[in-house]
Amino acid sequence: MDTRDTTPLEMVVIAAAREIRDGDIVFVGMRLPLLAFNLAKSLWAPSALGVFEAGLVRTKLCSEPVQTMCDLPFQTNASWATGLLEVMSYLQRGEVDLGIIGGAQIDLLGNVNSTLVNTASGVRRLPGSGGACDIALLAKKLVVIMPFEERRIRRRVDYVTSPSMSRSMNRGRQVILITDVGVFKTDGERKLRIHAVYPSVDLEKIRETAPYMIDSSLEVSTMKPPTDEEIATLRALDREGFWTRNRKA
Amino acid sequence: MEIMTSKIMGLDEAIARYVVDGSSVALGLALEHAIPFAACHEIIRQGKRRLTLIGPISDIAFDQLIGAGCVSRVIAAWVGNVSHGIGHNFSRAVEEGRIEVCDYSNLSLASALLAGALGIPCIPTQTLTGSDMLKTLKAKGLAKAWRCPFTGKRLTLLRAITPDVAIIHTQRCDELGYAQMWGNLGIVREACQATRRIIVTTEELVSHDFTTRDPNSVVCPAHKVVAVVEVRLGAHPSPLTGYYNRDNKHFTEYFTRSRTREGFEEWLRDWVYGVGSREEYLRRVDFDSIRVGNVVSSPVRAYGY
Repeated sequence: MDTRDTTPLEMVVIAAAREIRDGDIVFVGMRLPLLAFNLAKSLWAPSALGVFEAGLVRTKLCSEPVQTMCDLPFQTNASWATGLLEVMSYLQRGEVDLGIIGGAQIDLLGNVNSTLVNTASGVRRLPGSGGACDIALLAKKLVVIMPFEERRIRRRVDYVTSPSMSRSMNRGRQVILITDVGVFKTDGERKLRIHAVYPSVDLEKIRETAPYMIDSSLEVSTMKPPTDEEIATLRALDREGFWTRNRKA
Repeated sequence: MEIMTSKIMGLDEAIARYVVDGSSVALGLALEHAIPFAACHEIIRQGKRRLTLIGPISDIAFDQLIGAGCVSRVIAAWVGNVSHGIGHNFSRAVEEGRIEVCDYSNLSLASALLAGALGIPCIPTQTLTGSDMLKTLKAKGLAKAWRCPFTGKRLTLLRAITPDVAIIHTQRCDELGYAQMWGNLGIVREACQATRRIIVTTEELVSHDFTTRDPNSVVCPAHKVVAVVEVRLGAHPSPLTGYYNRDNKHFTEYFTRSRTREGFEEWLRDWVYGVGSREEYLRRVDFDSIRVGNVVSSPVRAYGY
């Protein structure tokens, strides 16, 4: 398959999916995180377990399109339908290998904001944390998905909804930021630095928006291009291209 | 005997009697599932005021109640439109300083309700540490830093939340208030234990003899149930496991129309104020688009002696 027409959002999903290992317990959000989970589960992580905050645990793949985790295709053939505390306690007990969240802003330290942003015309109120703060603080590995735009990639976020770490928790835990230009990872100083750019993305583009996320002493690789199998599976999962082909990053 | 008295009544009577101006109301407790929208619309029609809403992720239910002017305070983890993100009424109300918001995360809100359910004044948690939510909750007297006397670990103590009334929509309920629910449950059980009163709207009113055939499916203590109301499609446009799918088009229409204050008021006229009866509401719903096509049913469990 010709992969040259891969969209940035398809690259985001593939990069996020590559962080999921077989057997992982994964706390999954809707939209792109769910696609990434389904992609990994279809190809190399068949026994990854999906845990969903509304109170669902799924072993089986749900490939029907859903807008929320409570849609009936998602309830049907769940492995366990239960309460929010039962599944969110997996996090508090330290049993979740990987959590994937989105948000409105992320900063150099990996703090994520989904509560409010300061704009020229005043404060803009957003929906809030949901489970993001819990996932960010309590999952063993955190993946954040965010478009690479100046208003989103900040030195300091306007509001810390989901701290990347705290004094008492998660010292040394890695945060991985997946954008539509490349993948960033926290370094030894717990700062997010560019780790790999996508094929055909110029590092200068990253320098223009967030020079502080480039550490010239670290080598920046080019991400392994998507395989035919990854592209074909993703396009079968997002059949109409609703999430990854027909919208902007 | 009080507990054997039938609690069946109409939705108008249930809301008029048990949702009091200025009280705290927990709803949307199963997250995007089984949201008691019919009850929310009755609250709007009756013009309730100064309510405190409590719920983790309420999809557009909180947004509608806020837009209709019923709410002065929100205790939640997420308020918006799950299909599209922003809840326009919520954002407008916060930006204009018309409502107070106590921001929690899902786990911290659930934990505070669990403390209420357990009958204890507070509960420790490992979440929220380092967040701006915690700063605000501390300032409001709802959270405190705490060191565990057994392990020395630094944790946060959350004050228990005890709502005045919880409103749930379930698949079945009997005349005594034994409400049965399945699919994901969110924090329905904890909130029903923590609250003082429960209003149940239900898809199917059944007899107590019927619910006793499957007592494991009951989700609330019936002695707190003050009203049982049969409301067909009472959770529409949210989904109800085994009964109907989510009406996604409805969420998109709402998102588009509530972008402006005027648009929202027109939406309210079409879907709330202008709806004279449940039958009229049902006629407006595109039932074919939410009908369950692929039914997966399980044999009834066996109990016996």
